[in-house]
Amino acid sequence: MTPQPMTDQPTTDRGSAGVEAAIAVVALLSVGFFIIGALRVVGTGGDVDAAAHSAARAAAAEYDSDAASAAANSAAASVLADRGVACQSLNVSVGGDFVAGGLVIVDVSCTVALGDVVLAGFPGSRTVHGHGVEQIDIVRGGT
Amino acid sequence: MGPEHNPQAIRDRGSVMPMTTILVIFLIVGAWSLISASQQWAARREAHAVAAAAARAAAQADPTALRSGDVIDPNAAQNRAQAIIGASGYAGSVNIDGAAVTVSVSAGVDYTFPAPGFPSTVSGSASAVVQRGVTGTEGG
Repeated sequence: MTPQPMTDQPTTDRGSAGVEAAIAVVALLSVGFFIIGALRVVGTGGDVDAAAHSAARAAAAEYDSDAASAAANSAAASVLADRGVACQSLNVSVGGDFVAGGLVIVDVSCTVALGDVVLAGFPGSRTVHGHGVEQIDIVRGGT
Repeated sequence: MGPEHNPQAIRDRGSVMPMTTILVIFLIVGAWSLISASQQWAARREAHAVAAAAARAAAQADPTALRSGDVIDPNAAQNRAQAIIGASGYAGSVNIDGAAVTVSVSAGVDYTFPAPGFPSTVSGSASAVVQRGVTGTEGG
């Protein structure tokens, strides 16, 4: 054993644990924020799809497009509220033919806030879409 | 400081970084599988919801069929179910057995990250049974 490594040792070791800990904490926080943001987007996607299906069912039970639009908006907002989804902006559009046997098509889009997880590389917000189709009763029909 | 201090320093050196790297890799793999599984689950629920809507649309009493003693017209029911499935952007099969309609829908899963080992398509099925009359008992 030569004395050479012993004189080098204190200088190479000094202060490295603090830097490593700082890098480690930032890396762990980034991964943690990424998981939170990604699951928020994926989870909201499923909730918005469910809201679109509910809104389509509500819209198909109405007789004209104004009432259908109001019913779809109220159904979508209520489903999202029940599931605890807070949309920065919620947009519900209703299309289709209000005749007997016609298809009602509802598109729901919800802007998810990601401002608190920007550290993981997310944009400030992201819009997720849902799509629901339902048929109007073939006997009763619309107007 | 004696020579016996040297092995100790070598054992300590760099002990934080490999541990953190392993931990971060585990977290990334865990997040990847959690996100892919969530997306697969969402696609499965979506396929099931579309199948339920198609089955409801198909299982409607047809006025013309009712006059001849049947409840649903199989061809019209098939078309109604396929219209719902097509408008939702999926493909599926419709099976009509008497008054019962069973719809099976298969949906492709749009994974955000490459997901080897996860299914690329999932399927959902739903049944609906049509009944005569408003309460299901009118006219037998």
